Amino acid sequence: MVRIPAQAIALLALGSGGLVATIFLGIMWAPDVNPSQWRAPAAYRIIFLHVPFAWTSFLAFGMLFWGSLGWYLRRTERSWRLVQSGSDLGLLFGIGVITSGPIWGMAEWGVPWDWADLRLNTFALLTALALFIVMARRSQPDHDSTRDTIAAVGLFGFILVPITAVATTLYQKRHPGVVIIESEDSGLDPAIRAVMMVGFVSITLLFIGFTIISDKLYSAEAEIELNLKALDEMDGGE
Amino acid sequence: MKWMGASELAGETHLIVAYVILIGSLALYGNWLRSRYRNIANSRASTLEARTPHPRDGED
Repeated sequence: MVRIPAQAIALLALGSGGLVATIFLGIMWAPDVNPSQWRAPAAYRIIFLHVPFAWTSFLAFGMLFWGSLGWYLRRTERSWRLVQSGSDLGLLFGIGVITSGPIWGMAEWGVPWDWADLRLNTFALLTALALFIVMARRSQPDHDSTRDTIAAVGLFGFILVPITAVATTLYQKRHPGVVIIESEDSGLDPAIRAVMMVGFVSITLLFIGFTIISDKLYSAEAEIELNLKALDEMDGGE
Repeated sequence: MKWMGASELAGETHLIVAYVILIGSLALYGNWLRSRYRNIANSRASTLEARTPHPRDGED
């Protein structure tokens, strides 16, 4: 019987509470933006979850990369479980980013997507990569050769992470620039930045809680798979 | 250009839709983890039960 650590449940509870606080602060406390400069001023509050989702997705993609590297170097089950959880969570947070972003874009820009913007497209590719890995894991037999192929995609796909991170600095077409580093360009109100940080901490707590539980479940499922194989071999031998 | 009024309302609608999708996706993922946990808990092969005779053993 798999046991879910109490710490993971506590992290999920804390993260959920923080998420509610982020939404409350984002709507009730964060200042309004200048309505004359924005097409849809109310929609800007999407960033209080959109940006923390994006940052957390990078943690998930980092976990996927670390697991892929570990699989190549040591071929341990622990590394493979990092690939499994990293791709699941990368897909979860990636989809959150590429749905909430275009919703804001639709309200503010009038178009949901810009095919000429580097960050939008590299991030979409990253999410597509996580989707590919999740689907490949589910559709292909779980052999070392399959894991090698998936880990290779995870390793080489990670190059998109730094490209996406610096995309708005190197080549800003439409997506807003860096918001967390203080600069004349960012001009972000301290209250807005504070709410975004509350959101980031909350979603990171959820991410850690999800990761712990996902790791336990994948470990238990692998053990069940081994048990079933042993049963089948017992059947076959009789 | 006049974007006020209708666009402000539209902005609020966009905000609500985005929040529902983001929180809903987290809830769905949590629910998926819970269903996997239940599957494992109910699986015959999850514990020592795996070492008990297979049901098909008596068929021969």
